[in-house]
Amino acid sequence: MFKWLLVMLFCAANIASAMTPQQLATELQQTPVSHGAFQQMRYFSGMPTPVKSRGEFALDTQLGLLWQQKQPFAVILKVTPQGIFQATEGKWIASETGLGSATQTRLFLAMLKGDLPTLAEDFKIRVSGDAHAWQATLVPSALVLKKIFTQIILQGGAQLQQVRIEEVTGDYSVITLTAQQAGWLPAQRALWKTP
Amino acid sequence: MRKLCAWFLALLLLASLTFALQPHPSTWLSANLTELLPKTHTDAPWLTAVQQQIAGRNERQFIALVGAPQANKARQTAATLCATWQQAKYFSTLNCQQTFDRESLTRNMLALGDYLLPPEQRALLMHAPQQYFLQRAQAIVSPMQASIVPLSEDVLGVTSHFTLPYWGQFALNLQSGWLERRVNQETWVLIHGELRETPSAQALLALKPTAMLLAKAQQSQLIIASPALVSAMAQREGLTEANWMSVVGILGVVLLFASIFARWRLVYLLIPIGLAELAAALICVLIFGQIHLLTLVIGTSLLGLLLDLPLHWLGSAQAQHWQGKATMRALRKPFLASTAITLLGYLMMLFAPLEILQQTAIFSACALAIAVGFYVSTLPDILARFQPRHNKCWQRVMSGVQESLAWLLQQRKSLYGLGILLLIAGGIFLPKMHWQDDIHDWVQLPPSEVQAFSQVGKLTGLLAENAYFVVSAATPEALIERNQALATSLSRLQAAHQLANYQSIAQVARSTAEQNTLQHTWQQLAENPQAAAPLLALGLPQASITSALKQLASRPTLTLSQALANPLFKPWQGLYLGKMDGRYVSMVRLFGMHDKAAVQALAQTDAIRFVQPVARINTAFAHLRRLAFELKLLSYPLAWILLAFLFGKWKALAMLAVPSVAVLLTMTLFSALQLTLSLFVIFGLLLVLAIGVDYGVYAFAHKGATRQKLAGMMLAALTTVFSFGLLSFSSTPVVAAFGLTVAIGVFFSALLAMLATVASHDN
Repeated sequence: MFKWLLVMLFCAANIASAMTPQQLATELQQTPVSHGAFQQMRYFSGMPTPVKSRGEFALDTQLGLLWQQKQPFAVILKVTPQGIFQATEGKWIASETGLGSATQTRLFLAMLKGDLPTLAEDFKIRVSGDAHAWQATLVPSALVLKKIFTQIILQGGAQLQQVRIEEVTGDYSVITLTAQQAGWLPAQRALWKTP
Repeated sequence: MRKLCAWFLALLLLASLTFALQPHPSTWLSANLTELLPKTHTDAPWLTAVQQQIAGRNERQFIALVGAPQANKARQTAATLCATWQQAKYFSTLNCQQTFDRESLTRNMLALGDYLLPPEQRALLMHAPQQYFLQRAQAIVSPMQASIVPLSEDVLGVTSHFTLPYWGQFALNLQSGWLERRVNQETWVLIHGELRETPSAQALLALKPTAMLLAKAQQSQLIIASPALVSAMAQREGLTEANWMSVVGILGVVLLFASIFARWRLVYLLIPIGLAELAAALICVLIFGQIHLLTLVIGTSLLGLLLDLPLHWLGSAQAQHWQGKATMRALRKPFLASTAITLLGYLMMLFAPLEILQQTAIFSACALAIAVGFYVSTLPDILARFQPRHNKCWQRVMSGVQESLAWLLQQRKSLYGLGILLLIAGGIFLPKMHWQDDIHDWVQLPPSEVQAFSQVGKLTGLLAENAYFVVSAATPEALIERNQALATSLSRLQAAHQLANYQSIAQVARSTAEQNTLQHTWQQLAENPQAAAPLLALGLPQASITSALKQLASRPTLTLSQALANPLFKPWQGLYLGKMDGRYVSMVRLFGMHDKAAVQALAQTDAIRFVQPVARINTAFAHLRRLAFELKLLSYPLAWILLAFLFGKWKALAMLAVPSVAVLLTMTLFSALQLTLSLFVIFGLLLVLAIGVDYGVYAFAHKGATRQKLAGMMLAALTTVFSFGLLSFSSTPVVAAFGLTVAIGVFFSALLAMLATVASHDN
């Protein structure tokens, strides 16, 4: 009888508690290398229509992110912990850094990687849902980030599916990731390795 | 007699009143060692003013680094320190935790608008506008670029390239708002600011230990680099030193009197010295407006010299039937002659264009003249019934001395041998003398401070070189262009690793011509906006792009001062010195100069000057040293003329031989010990001539008994060597060298004079 009670208590606890950020991080890092398609909408206050872009991406939690934008014009970016590089005439050229852009790059990488421990340094993270459909809300706690972002919402299941970045100015961006598969395409590997 | 006493009392009262009426010693007592450095007269007044302004600002720089293994600990400690310092109001600016006020940042960026556009972006806009707009479109699309200024207010992205200046190796931590760097498991937080001119030395001195205690209580490390603080420390050290030297000096003399004469009454001899030094200080303040601490330190050593007359007089007091007045009469001529020579020595020092030496000369000459005048006219009267106690021990010492000297003189062969040996030593060592003056000998930084500065330099990479460029031009416009040309060359050196970094207004300032060209470009683009196609491709409305272009085309141009007044340009504000003497002046700060020659080669005669305060001072020192040497050479014939007039030419020559040989021996000794001969050593030698000749005069002119003459010389030499020898313990190397030179020189002079006395007695 006592045994049963214990089992029931454990089950109830499991149902009642949502995913913890740790559990989510563990789950997201189960596919450390993946690729897929992205679509991005940036909504700017004072502008009538959002700025749309689409393309393909490849993510490696160790190496970084390959961002191949196809629309509205072709741009290939490589985002690594060292910074952003742009493919120009077959070479990677370091992209110029704007105000606090190193921090923003680091943040963006952490978001896509689902690196919640890193994000937790700068954000208060609230996770809801379960392993099949979860949502993580990131509210900046860091002094300066508070002045830039209102909140960042990550959504997904087995993988990260959507990132919504809300800025203090009222601007916001929605990035949707689709058709995600494990591993990189050979062409993506080759591109990354270009000097 | 009474009249004289009354005069002295009046003088004393006047002096005490003058000093008493000024409650803060800072008004008449200066302790700033850099003030004493030779002035470089070669510069135009405006350049001198610029250098002073820059030196003043450098002096007020303040950097504090707070370190702890946990970042939060370091931040907390830094915050506490900042709060304390801000409350104390010592700082005109103190940069602590940044609040990052988005609204004002946006406002400031928009106020500058396309002024913020860096040169390569301007070039792109003019020569390849499509490329510019493509990059802008990419930036708008990039998910990684949240901008400060809203898109609707800066569609064309003219403000988007502005980056906050970073502090050497320290970066702004966006989470904490502090400038931070993590090194070896330790987080360092940087606080930097500028001190006001007002805080007193005491306040500054209190600042550091309080802060250190506070940091220690919070288990954090604290390193402070503040030139003003170091100056205050040097000042305190100087004062302490001056105090203990006077105390030890007086105690030593009192003990000597007590042990030899065993008469407390002789302490009276110290009173005229006190009066004379007080009066001399007053005269110095009247002439120079203030008196330097170093003058007082050197003045302390005068004690031994001022006592010479009474000691020569008392030296004979061990005789059986001592007649004070008669002895004084006999002593008067030699004494006045030697005083005249000493005064001549000080007079020569007066010709050196170095205020510290002039002050010392005036101070010493006045004190000597007053003390001698007082002793000569009053001693026999005041000590009329003085009968010294016979001191057996002293008698024995003197007999011993006399006998050893006599014995020494009998060893003719050995003496000749010694003479030849000394000649050879002189021949070897004198040409090898190491002449040098260095600013570091003047301002001796406490080792802890030197370490703090080097640590801050290593951690931040921010300590500016002690050399900089001063750029000047007839108009602000030309000034900007000149700075830009220089900056291009400096960037080239930077790329070649010959220079770590530099800071110039060229990094932010734009000439009117540049602004006009850009305006014209905007105008053309507004009329012909195809180049902005990539922005249209994003779906941005044509109307907002055109209106942004038109707005930029009609922006008024900004003057240099208008632009620099913007808070965003605060780090560069101090570089622009404004209009001085009809020209516009700015400076370029240099960091990590690995190849000085290459940097220096960029200077142009008037427009771009490379200023090296230390090198300039060292050149001035070399010039002064030559002058001092000439003065020294000149002083010999002058002294000879004076002595020849009083005692005859051959005797005068013999008298002069005493200090001359002593000077040569001192120089040989210095050279053999590989001690550096600095300016102060030469002035010390000048003084050796002046003081040493006294002994020569006594040896050859005073007609007393040998024993009494020897006793007088011995006593005078003891006090002089003792009091100047005390100076060699000074923490300021030049003062120590000065004291050591005089002590050794006087020792040799006395030894030679005593030998001569014994020799003449034997003959």
